[in-house]
Amino acid sequence: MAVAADAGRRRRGGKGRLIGALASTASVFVVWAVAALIADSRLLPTPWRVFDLMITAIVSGDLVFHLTATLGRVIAAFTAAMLIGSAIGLAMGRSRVVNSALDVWLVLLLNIPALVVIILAYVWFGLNETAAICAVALNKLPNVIVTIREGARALDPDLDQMARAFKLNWRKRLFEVVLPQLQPYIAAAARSGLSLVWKIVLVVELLGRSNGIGFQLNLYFQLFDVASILAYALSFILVMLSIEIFILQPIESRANRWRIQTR
Amino acid sequence: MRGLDLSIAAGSLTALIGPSGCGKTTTLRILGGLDHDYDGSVSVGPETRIGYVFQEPRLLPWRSVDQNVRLVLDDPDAVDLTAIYGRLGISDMGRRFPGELSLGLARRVSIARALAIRPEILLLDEPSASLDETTAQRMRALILDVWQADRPTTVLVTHNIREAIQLADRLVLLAPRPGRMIGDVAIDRPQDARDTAFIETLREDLIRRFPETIA
Repeated sequence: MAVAADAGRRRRGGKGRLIGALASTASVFVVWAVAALIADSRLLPTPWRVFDLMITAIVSGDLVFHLTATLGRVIAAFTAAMLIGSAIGLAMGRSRVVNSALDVWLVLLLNIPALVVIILAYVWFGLNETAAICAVALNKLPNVIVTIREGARALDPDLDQMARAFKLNWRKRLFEVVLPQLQPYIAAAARSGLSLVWKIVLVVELLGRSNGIGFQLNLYFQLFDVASILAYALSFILVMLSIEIFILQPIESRANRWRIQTR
Repeated sequence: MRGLDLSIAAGSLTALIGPSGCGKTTTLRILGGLDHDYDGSVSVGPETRIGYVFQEPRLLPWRSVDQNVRLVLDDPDAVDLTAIYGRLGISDMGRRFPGELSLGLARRVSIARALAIRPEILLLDEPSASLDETTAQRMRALILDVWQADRPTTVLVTHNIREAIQLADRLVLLAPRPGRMIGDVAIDRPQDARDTAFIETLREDLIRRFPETIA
C-alpha cells in the first residue's frame, strides 16, 4: 500500500520535472529570440539563423568532424582523470601517510590556473594530442581527488570489518563494499567533471590543435561570425545534455535502486 | 583484558558472559582475527572457516538478501542455500533489500551469511540484543537448531545469563577492569531438557557464586 502510494508520487514528480524542464528551455529561446529581434544585429543572430547554420554544418560534415574530435578528447581526459583521481582519492582517504605525502601536490594542482597547465604541457611535450589530453586531465584531477577523498573518509568501518571477518578478496571489497559507498561521490565528481573537462578541452584546442570545436570557435572569432560560434557551442551543449540524460542518469538510477525500494 | 586462558572443545557451544566492558566482544574479535593488537597467542588454524555474526547485522544495503549471503562464498553460484534459508525462516526474503527487513530478520540473514561458508567456528555477538522477548526467544531456538544440525564450534557472547544457561554447554564468566576470567562452569544437562526451573536454579546459584559478574 505504502509502496504503491510512493510510486505514484514519484511518477507525478517525474511529470512535473519534465514540464519544468520544457518550460525553462522554452523561456531561453523566447528571451533569445526577442532580444535578437530587438537588437537586429550580426552580433546577436536569431535562434532560427543559428539552427539553420547548424543544419548546414551537419550536412557538410564539418560539425560532425570537429564534434567527434572534441568529444574524443573529452572522453579520454575525463576517463583518465576519473580513474586516476578516484584511485589517488581513495588512497588519500584511507591512509594518513599517503594523504600527508600528497597533500602539497594536491594544493598545488588545485590552485594552478588551467591556462598555465595547458601552456606548460604544450611547451614541455609539444603541440600534440597526448599533451592536450594530459593538460585537460590534470586540470580535472585534483577536483576528483578531493571529492573521492571525502567519500573514502566516510566509508563504514563496520562493513570493512565484516569484509575482513569473511576474508573477502580485494575485488569483492572494492566492487561490492567500497565502490557502492563511494557512488554518490563518484557521481558528483563525474557531473562537475564532465562540464569542466569540455570547457578546458576547448581552450586546449584553441591554443594548440587544428581541429575540434575550440579550433572552430577561434576561426569564427577571427571572422567575427557570432552565428557560427553559437551554432558550434550549442551543438556541443546538446551532446553533453544527451550524455547526462541518456548515460549518466540511467546509470545513477540503476545504482540507486536499493534506495528507492527502501525509502 | 588480562590473563585469559581458554581452550574450547570442538563442536561445543561456549558462552562468554559478563557486564559491558569486560572484554567479551574483544575476545570474540581476537578469535575472529579482526583484532591483532594483543599479547598472547590464539591457536586457530589459518585455514579454519570462521562464520562471524556481528551484533549489528552489517549487511550491504545495496545488495539483496541473497546477494549478501552469497557475497562471502568463493563460488557464489555453486552453493545451494535453500536448506539454510529454510532453517532460518527467510526462504522468501532472497530478493528483498536489507533496508526492508526488521532487525530480527536482518540478523537471521547475517546468521545465514555466517552459515553459508559452512563454518568450523561460529562466533555470535549478542544475537538477541535489541530484540523484543518473543523474537529473542525465537532467535535462541534458531541458534540452538543451527548448532545442533552441524555442530560448529560456537562461541556466544552475551550479557544475558538466562540466555547463556539455556543455550551453552559451557559458561565462561568474565569480570571487568581489568577484563579477566573469574569462572568456568560446565552444564551437563542437554539443552532440550533445560526447563525454566532448571535455568532459574542455576542462575541463582551463579549469582551467589559470582556476584560481581551477574547482577
